[in-house]
Amino acid sequence: MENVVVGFVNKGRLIHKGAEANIYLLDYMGEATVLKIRVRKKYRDKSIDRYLVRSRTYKEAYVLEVAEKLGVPAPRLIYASINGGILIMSYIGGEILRDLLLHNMLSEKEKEFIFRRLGMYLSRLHNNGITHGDLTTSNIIISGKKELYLIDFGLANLNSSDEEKSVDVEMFERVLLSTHTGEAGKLFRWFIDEYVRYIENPDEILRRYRIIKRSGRYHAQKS
Amino acid sequence: MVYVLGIESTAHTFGVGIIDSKFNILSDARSVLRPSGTLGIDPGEAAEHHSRVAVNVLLEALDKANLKLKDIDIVAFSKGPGLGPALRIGATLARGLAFKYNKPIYPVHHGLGHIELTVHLTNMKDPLVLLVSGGHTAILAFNEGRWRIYGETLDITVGNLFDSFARRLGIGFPGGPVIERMALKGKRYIELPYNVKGNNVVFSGLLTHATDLVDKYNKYDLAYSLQETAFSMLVEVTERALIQTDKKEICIAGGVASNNRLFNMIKTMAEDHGVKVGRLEGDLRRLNGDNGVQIALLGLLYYEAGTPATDLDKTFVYQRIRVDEEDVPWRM
Ligand SMILES: Nc1ncnc2c1ncn2[C@@H]1O[C@H](COP(=O)(O)OP(=O)(O)OP(=O)(O)O)[C@@H](O)[C@H]1O
Ligand SMILES: [Mg+2]
Repeated sequence: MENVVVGFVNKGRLIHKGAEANIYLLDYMGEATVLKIRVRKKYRDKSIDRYLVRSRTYKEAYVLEVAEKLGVPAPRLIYASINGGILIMSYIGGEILRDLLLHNMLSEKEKEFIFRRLGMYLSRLHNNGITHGDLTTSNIIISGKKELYLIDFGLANLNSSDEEKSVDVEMFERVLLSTHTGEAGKLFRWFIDEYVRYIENPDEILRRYRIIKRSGRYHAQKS
Repeated sequence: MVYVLGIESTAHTFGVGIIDSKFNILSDARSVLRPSGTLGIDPGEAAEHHSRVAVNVLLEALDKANLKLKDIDIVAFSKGPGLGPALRIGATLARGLAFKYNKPIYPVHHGLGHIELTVHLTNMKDPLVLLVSGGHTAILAFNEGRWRIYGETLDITVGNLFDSFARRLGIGFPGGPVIERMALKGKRYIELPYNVKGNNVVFSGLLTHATDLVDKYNKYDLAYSLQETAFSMLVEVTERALIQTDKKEICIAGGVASNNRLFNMIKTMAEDHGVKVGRLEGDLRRLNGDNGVQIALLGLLYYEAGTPATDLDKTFVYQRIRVDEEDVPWRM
């Protein structure tokens, strides 16, 4: 099967070269799909390399399947080769949320809808033990119908503690602050408002979130 | 010619460096505390050490530079981040000198010193900086007036990781160089927790796990596995930040920059992107460690950028202060 996929790659068109994977657009039995191949890294020990390629491919495949069951919009998994580091998933036509925000292409209503929805979807994943691990506005695709899709689950954790959930939330806030500085507060409030509505243990996660936020990565502390 | 004197006292090192306005390094005097206990650095012990050696280090620096105190034009000191009691020794000396000789004083950020010193001495224009030391583990790039953080440790620094693990092996401070040598003898990779979150790294699980295995495995294999895991995490997040920032140079700064394995891993990664990698080499390597020279350099840079000196009663020290809170007027 790997050879078959390598054959596909030749027909596919490279649309993205990320830090760990190459993304090809591919016609797979008449359907527009995305082929994601995690590449070997020459700089690291072979056993770490093998472990990372496999575990991330596995996690991403797993989360794509769970997301579908939970009703969290994400690409549909079509094929996975864990050892080969290869996934084929449905293609989501649309724009990256980061670009839409930076180029001011969304109305306030659309933004509120998207960030509230995101809060709801993340709580569903968290309630099932899954943290995203790399939740950024680059890893969210907004389809033509303004529905949001989560992608890029390779850094997910499938068995997350409350601490990891609060880190997921706090890191997302930091991404908003650094990438969408002017409107970060507003976007995060929409998101968190809906997130706490559905999360199973909001008090504990918010408590840890506040500790992480205060823990001093942010501001000067005079001595 | 303008002469700048920089005082460093954030952690183990008490250092005084003197440079001139052409950034010739006239002296780099230091005394490094070797902690007596097994628990790592004690703030009181560090302060005790610094206050004991301060005058001698100062005199040594002046002597090597062939200058008298009255020849110094600008005084700079590390305002943090670091250990409160240790920081106060350096600050107090700096204030005393500035007051007695009526010289401008600049409190400067220690981590910013590592960055600027390395960027200047490697002649880089606009690099991505991997700052790896006992006090810092972060990936930065200059953007809109400041060195912005594109990734960092969410818990302990890579320097802490190595020093803590080394202590568990009964190796003295600093542990990093010994672990590097031990790792060369390691033959087998032992699986250890690899924890990357977005562009950030988390080391505490790795430390706990590796520490637990000390009596069960060959220590060379463990040293190799610990170093290899930590560096793979760092290189991965550096590559992510490199792609996001689209920089054409990478500069490795801080004590851990001396590690050849890390340097080679970063170089291998950077080759794929056609990106140049630099660090301090040869005689300059010693400046990867904490020193007064980088503090003096910042004093000079603020002075030349026209930043007014700080009022003596506002020369505070900070146990915690982030690099991205510092204005960098000389790059604007
Ligand atoms: N199912 C999909 N449908 C449409 N586009 C996709 C899909 N999956 C990925 N992409 C596109 O490819 C890009 C990278 O995908 P992804 O984040 O999964 O890979 P990555 O290697 O982890 O990338 P990075 O390192 O940049 O985060 C996305 O930003 C998006 O533009
Ligand atoms: Mg991505």
